Amino acid sequence: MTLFQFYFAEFSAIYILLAWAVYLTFRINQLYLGPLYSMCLGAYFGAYAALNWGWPFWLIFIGAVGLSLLFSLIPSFRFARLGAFAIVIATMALLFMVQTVIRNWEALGGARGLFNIPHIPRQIWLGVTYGFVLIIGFCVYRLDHSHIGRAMDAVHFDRDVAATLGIDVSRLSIQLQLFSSVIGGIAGVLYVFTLGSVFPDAFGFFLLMYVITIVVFGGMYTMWGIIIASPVLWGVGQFLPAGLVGFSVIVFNVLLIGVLLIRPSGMINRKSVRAITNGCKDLLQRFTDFHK
Amino acid sequence: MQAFISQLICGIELGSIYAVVVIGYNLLVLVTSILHWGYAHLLVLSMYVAWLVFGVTNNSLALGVSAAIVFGIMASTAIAPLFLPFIRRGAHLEGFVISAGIASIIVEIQSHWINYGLAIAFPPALLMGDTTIRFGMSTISAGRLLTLFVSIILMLAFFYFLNRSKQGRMLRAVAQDSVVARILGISVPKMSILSFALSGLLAGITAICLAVALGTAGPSLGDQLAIKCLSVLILASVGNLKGGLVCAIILGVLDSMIMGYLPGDWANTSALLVIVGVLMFKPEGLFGAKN
Repeated sequence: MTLFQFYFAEFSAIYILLAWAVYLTFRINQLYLGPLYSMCLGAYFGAYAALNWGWPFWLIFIGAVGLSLLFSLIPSFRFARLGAFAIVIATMALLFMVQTVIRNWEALGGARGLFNIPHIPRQIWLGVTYGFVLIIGFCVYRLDHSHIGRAMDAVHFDRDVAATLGIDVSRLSIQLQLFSSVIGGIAGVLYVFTLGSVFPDAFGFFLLMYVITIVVFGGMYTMWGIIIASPVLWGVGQFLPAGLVGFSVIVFNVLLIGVLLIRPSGMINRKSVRAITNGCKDLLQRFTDFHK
Repeated sequence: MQAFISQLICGIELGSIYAVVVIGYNLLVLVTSILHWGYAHLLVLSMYVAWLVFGVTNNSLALGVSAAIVFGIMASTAIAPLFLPFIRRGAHLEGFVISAGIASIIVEIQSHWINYGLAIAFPPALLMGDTTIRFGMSTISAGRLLTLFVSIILMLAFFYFLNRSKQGRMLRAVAQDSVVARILGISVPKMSILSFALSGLLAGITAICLAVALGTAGPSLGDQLAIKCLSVLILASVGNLKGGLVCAIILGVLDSMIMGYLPGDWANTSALLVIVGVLMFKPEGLFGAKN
């Protein structure tokens, strides 16, 4: 396996996790960017713990999860009641604040970042990463297809009507925000051990727009589109011909604007998922009927 | 004490810059309910256009200024149709995401194709030859004082337009209730495009003010202005014009105090702290009503 293939597989998985985290809260009309600053915190915690304390990576995961929960808990109490728009501004501000604090903190490497984080053998790390993708994917799937998922749909449709139906919107919002942040923290640790280094500028506006593009392009109301959108969008940056590489940011943004204008619910929406599942069921039915 | 007064004056100068830019944001938010993140970037692009025209026409002030204004109006009006579906649906979040996409495209253009991504400098003739006004031991640059006056004049002109003209009344009607405005025969898409065109005009004029006040511009100026103006808007309650002016000055002073007294690179911290603090504890802003 070449280094390029390893990075492609790893970063696709990391962005899938981040996009799922953002997707969960986006389902209730809150574009919560907590997973992004949790990713930053998780990555820096992982780097610092590995370099200075020699922690093994499984302990670092636990630490990163705890740190993400700690930093998301108090803001989430206040953010739960905010409208869609205010949350994206507030969490974007928190993301930039985390970036600024790290840039000024010499112990964390300042603007240069931290380097020489111990590498883990590629096969093991790919296994760990995709293990997390499967576990978290399973959790997101079960969440979507449970009474909580139906509550999320109700809140998305109309917050007040959902409240009259007995759904505690604030509590749902807090729970989803915390879960999102945990996923972000895990993605951060995966990121730092894949790359072997971390620097504050990686967690800025570009990451924000990139994750939002994946969610919007893949499909805002279903988890499956993100699995396809993440490698495709990562691939755009990698597989563009040499002359067009400078245009990759513009291509992303044009895709984002285009999808929002032409197909607002994303490339794969619920109707597509239902059509594909029904199509597969039909095929299976015909196959079993044929063999009877 | 002298240092404090100097920082205070510097803060008022900074605040006047934010005040002038915030007027455009407020106009768009009032009429279309969309916070146009890319407005500051469009403004900076107008500054770049003025710079390009200065370079080509041997520093002709009239041509440069009119180029900035014309470009502002044209670019803003060209972008307006992208937002119309979201204005119609009331999809403010998607509108914001689109404006962020446009902002990223503008920053990318500035970072790669104009002046090799380096900062641009405006001709000294525009900067009024570095005239400064002495104020005890401190000095205020004439350019920044001009910006403060222009922001007040623009606000007054804007108030007059909104309250005394027919188009202004129609804009206010759309801002208050777009459904009823439609029933009364006001075309909401036309008013939205008018508001974008007006904001483009404001962007062009503000671009010249900023060119005089700052003297330089770079690809990162759009992001910095956007985040500062966002914090002003949130502090003042989005859409509040008078509050915007007051809060811009407050934030400018806070900014300059932090830059003056805290070591390190804490450039945007005041704006970010204000945003998070206000949204966590008083989401309707200082001048807003709880709804």
